Amino acid sequence: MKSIVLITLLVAELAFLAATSQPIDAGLLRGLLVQSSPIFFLAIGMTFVILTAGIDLSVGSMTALVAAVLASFPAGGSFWATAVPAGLAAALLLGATNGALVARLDMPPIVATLGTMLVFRGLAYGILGDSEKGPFAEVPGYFRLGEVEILGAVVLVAAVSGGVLYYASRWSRELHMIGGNRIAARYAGVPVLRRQMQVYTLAGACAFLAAVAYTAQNGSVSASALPELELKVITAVVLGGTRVQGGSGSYVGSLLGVFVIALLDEGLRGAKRWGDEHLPFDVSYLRHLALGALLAGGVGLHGWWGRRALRSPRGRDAGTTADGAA
Amino acid sequence: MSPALRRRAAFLLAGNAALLAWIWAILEEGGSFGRVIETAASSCAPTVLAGLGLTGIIASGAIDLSIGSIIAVCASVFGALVQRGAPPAVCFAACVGTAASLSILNGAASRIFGIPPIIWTLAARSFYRGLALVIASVAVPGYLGNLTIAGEDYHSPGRQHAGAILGAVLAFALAGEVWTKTPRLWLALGNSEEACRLQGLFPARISLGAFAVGGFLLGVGALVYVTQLQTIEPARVAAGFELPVIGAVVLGGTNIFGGEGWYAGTVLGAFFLHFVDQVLAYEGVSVYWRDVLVGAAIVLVIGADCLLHRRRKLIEELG
Amino acid sequence: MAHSHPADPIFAALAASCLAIAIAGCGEESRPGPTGDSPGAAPASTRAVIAMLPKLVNIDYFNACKLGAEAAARDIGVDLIFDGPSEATAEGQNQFIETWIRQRVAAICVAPNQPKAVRRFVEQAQRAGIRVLTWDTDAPESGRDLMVSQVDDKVLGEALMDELASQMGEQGNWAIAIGSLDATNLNTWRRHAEARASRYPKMKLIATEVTKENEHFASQRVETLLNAHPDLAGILAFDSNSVPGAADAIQRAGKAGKVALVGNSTPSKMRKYVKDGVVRAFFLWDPRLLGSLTVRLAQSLVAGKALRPGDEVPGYGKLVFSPADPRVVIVGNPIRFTAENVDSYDFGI
Repeated sequence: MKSIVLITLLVAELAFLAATSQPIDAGLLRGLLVQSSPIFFLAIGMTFVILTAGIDLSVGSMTALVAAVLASFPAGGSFWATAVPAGLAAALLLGATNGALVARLDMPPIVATLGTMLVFRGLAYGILGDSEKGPFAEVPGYFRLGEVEILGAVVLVAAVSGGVLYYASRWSRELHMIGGNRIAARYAGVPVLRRQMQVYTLAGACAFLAAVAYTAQNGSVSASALPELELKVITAVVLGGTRVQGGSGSYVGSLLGVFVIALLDEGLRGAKRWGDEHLPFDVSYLRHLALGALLAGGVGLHGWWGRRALRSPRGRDAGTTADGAA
Repeated sequence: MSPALRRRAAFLLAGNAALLAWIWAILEEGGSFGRVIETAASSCAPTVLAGLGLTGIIASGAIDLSIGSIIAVCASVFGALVQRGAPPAVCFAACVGTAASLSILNGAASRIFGIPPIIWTLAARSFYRGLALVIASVAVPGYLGNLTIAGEDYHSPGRQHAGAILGAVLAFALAGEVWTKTPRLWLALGNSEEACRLQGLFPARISLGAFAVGGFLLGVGALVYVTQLQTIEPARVAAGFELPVIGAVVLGGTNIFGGEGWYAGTVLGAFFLHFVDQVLAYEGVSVYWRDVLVGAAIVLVIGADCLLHRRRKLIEELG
Repeated sequence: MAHSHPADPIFAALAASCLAIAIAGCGEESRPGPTGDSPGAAPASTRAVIAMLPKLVNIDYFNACKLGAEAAARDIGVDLIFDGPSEATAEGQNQFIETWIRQRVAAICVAPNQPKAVRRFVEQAQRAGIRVLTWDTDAPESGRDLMVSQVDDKVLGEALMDELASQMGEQGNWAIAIGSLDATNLNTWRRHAEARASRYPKMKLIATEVTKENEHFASQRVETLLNAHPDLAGILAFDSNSVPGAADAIQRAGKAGKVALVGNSTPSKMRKYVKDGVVRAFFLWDPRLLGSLTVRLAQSLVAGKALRPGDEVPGYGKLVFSPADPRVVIVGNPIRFTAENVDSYDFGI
């Protein structure tokens, strides 16, 4: 039961918030929703990518680059007609580039996206140079996108569509097969290369949503924005139960994983005074320790639970992918 | 050595020679080519040493994303000992020992807990960074965010002997690769753990060995890196260090999934990336474009190779 | 189906209900705090909470500012939260501001990484009745109540340039080493220095190196710079990591004394180089004083005091405002360090 681990973590984090006298109210949920929306969108795409036994290390740089593209258009009413389609096109192009490297050139995803991570970040610098660009303030209605009403609705729509895609589509089942055993999938008639192209392009589309969410909240972008975002996204997805070897995953787990990490960050941000009184070191150190422990603990628990399930009579009959160890 | 590796080796040798020639050609009157070589050795030494360690780990089918944070812990330990007046030899030994221990911990823990090494070391990356900060703040009175390393003798490995250390370690590593069994066992493990098990080998021991040796090499690299610094800032020291190291290893021809790899390739790959960056610096290219070009170099070199490989792999898969 | 779990729809429903609560609660603008006070007020019975947000934490410079801020907070009887992101990002800082708005602090003092990005959050805080100051780096268009600037930017830029020119004999090629091209304060000083350079027509700027605020990286970059331009006679470096990095490179290349180096950095990092004769002079200010005055002025604003030039601030002295902007307070003048006086200052760093 993958989600039990996540629910337990959520409860533990809420308990921490209560213990450090931080208010748990609708304002907290709103803040979490809005702040974690970029990671949320990226996690949707990343779940599918990791499902195929791939990985995309370039999502952070891709988001920054798409935001840079958006920011280089002049502000004003025409922004919606020029910048937004351009940004979407750019995002899809970047995603397709990753897809082409992995599918057409047959590069290992980790290597291909490592390279594109550097290239995309560098291109963002090339576009923005040394400045922080923020035409978004003068675009009518843009900041409304960053507020919880509209952003929440977009998040909901994305979550539901992603869920439908994940649980009820043949496309998703084919991705599972590719992740499980690529050669067998090919023999089963799954168009492996095409699916890989599509899944990385989807990650690109998610990066577009993330870029819009980011710029709508923060109002500007600089080339150094969103460093190491990809690691946070991968952490959330893996914590959610998606296996890095591919073939098995949990969509709801990914979304809950995003929430778990966002709540952890928020809890530790508000715990400064508690930390000064009770910890022998600065509370900011706890952020590093807690994230690492959370990830290792969560994945370890998923694996342990999975192996327990294997040993049960039901597990033996059902049969699963290879042993849960490395 | 497979034809692909031979091709990569030839490319890297030719590439490095071409880049060096380029630098030599554009160097102005008064610029010293000798300094280019000298600084290449001392700048690349940490990356190459860490890369040698990582080559073994990747060849055995694992990976270690936490090497930057391991160096941070080593730096904190080193800095704390220096501030307490420990003799240089003790500080150096502690630095190397910390890296080896943490690396062994990575290898052991991922096996014991059944967590894929990529995930465990991703978690360790955060955790060890926090650990480095905790050690510095707890062990050093009056810690304000950085540790100053005063005293020339503490700096000698990184500042005076970097090249010599690199050369010596490289000689041992290459000799070990050719004449001992252990690296071959890593390759075997990386190819197929199941086959190793059926052969009567012990995958856990082999894997741990790769992490142990990798950790030791990383420790030497950490020593060189840390002793080159005047002040150590545990929050940011060696942040992002794993990137050029993984780039060098992969560029050198080591297969990221394991089963194929060689030390000389990593060395050539590290120098290649360094010289690409240097050429761009000497040509006056803005630092922001340099990252693009280094990333593009990785994609193009490996992409080209994969492209040539593709047909054969497809036939292999389907046949 | 092998890839979904029977319980997943339950958790999906749980997640959706959380989402619904969040959106349902979004109609409310501000809610009374636990004691029923209006937000942001400092009730007489409890201490005011002042939050200070550096660019990033665990850096010695900001930790020194923290020392001063904490001392001032103890002195005037307020609670201080000095916290920030682990990376120098705009979104990291904005998240802290949001957390503190929810916690209903009395004042937020921010050293913004990206001035434009902080604007919305400054507005949000002010709507919640929280006073907002900037310190160390300004965000002039954000509507902040006050800026506490460690030095007058023009004065520092010009002092740096004049010092370099005097060491170079007012002629020769020089280069810039700067932490990044998008940090506001560093680049403001750079622009003032470059403007001052027009006074020295025989000096030519031939390169600008970005060091990514990393000492090791700075050292490597400047090393290459020295080798690529053998006739380089001077370097102007603009942040506390670039200066020692450049000094290290100059020393290793054996060019101490032949290449002049001037910049702003901390005594603890520069002591060795000043004593070795690699650097003749560098500049800084007292970071503790910056932190301390920021807290004191924040408290004054919270208490509703108007601040005018010449006002006496207890524990500091008379307020000096910038001639360029009436809402910018200048803490003091840049301090010039040399081998003689580098040991006589104890800033904590």
